[in-house]
Amino acid sequence: MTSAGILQRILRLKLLALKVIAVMSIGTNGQIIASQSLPVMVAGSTPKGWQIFDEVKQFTPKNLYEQINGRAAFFLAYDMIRMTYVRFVNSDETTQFINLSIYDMGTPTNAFGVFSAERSQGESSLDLGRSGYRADANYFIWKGQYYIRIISAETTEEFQRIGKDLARKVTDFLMDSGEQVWGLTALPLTDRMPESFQYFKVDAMGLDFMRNTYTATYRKGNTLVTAFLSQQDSAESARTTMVQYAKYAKKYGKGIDRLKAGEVELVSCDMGGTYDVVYQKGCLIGGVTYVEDRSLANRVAIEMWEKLRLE
Amino acid sequence: MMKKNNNRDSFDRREFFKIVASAAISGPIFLSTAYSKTTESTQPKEPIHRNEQPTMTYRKLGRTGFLSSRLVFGCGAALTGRGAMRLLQRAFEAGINHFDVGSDIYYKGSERNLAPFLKNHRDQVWVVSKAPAIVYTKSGDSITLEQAKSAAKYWTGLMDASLKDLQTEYVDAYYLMAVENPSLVRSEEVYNAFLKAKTAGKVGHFGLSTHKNAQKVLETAIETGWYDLAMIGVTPAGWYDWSTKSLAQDTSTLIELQGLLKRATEAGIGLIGMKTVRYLAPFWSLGKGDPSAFDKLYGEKLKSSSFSPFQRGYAYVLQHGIDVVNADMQNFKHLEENIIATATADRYFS
Repeated sequence: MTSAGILQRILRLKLLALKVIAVMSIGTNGQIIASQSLPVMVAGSTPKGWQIFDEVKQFTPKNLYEQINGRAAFFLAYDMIRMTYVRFVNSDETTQFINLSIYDMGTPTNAFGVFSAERSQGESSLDLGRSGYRADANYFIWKGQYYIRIISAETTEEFQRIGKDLARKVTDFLMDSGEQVWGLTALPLTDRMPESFQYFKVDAMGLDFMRNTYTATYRKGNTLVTAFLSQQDSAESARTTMVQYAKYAKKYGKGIDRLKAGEVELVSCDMGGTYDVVYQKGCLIGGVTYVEDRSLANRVAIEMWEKLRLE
Repeated sequence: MMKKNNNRDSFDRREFFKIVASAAISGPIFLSTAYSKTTESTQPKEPIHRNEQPTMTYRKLGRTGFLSSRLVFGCGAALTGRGAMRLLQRAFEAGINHFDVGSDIYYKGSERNLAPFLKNHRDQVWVVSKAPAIVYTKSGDSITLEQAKSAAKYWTGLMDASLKDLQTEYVDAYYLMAVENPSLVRSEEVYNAFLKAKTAGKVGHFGLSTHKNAQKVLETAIETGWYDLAMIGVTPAGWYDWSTKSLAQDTSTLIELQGLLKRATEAGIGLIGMKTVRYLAPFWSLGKGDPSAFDKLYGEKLKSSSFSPFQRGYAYVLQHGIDVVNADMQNFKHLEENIIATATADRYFS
């Protein structure tokens, strides 16, 4: 074996050891330590014929803006813990690059939040992580508490291939705790549009009082209806949110009606051409928004209330 | 796909084709030089009016002639992952006629989420998008020709993607985003890429956004004579620097920057303020969490107003050389506060 071969073998063994340490860290000391180990794993994923530009960098909430500018606020709103970033450049043509960013969001719910908020509809889906898709030669993947972005300088098949290999390697070494995202199972599955599910930690629907909110689009006949579900700290807090919603509807819409259908009490908001219908169920606030047909809005809101899958 | 806009800022195509014909012989450097000398003027054009309402105030943006609402709706963050149609509609009803968004590569999904609003209002609003022309150098280093070519190619590719996502054939302006390197600002390769896009009817005006090394970037933009719009990271206390998330080191105050801002205005550059009050914001919003940081700069009238610290910041810069301010607004509460601040700013200055 040549000295270069021996060196490569030592490096591989070191990487394997670090991988084991990273995995162990997840089990014993929490996710942050695992995330700190990522630079080594990332370096080991360098595509063949490419090299790392500068070095693998890590960013915390305190300095994330240095890398992604104003977009940092978006990730901080979802309680990002650490971001690992590397730029790979082609060894022969250094203006060609592939950027890899791995966001450790602390929990699968937060990771799903940023993934779902950035998700494009109609892109090619990937069988990687819990969910993922490709747009041109860019890859976006959610796995457990991680959100992975791979951005390529060009859209060629070659970049697609290299990007996909990289995506596979990264999703292989990132761990997934398996913890479920509550909202994904709480809202009914029937008629739900694939990939329409989103999670907003703050400012859902442009409303500063709507926090921890899931939204999903449902096909009802020929109409698409957006349903939402927000988990509050307590029933009291949910009641307060209902009052705030009614105030918002009165200010920006044409008024509200209070309805009762069996057990369900609804607030129907005429927003001037579209309708929102809101209900409370314990510490949950749910409903539908931006529906053009008032009776459909009422009907779907009641259906959502009845079919909520709560355990 | 939207039809090309009839009321776009006029550009003399016959004159341009003459220049392009010359450039075909003389090469790309001549293109920018000839264009600059022949058709650009720092004199304001006839005003372009769009969606003006009594609840908002307006300011002409440099030589574009566009009468922009003094509050610019910053769509990038607000529309990432959400439609926010009602928020946009409320902004429109309040007289906001200037919507600033950014490339999908940066503000993912925001352009696609703005598209339905534009479908209803494209001719009534001014739409700007932006993308980085990525080069990896230090601020002081000059970029190489190869880097400039690569940056221009990347930038125009993102511009095409922006148009597709916005479902329009034309944006009123497209910016070089987050520029910090003066040599990129004066890159003929990038400028010629813009001119080609303009000739193709894709874009009306050339601009840049900067929040690092902003003074040098703006000075360079003035020197070139190419830029119609500059979106600058600026606060009442002076330049804002994203690399430190703080005020730029040794920055002059906004009052002391008046000479430079005046030169930019005289060069026909419309000035859009951004990151104006970010310094005051809480940590999770990338601020320093010090709402009173600019108070020492304010007069009694502004200080004793019912404005919040954020509203005061906007009002102050609008009265000191900044034409309009771009604000990132993700909920109705912030939108309403900013409308009041920008529309009534002049009441607090004698």
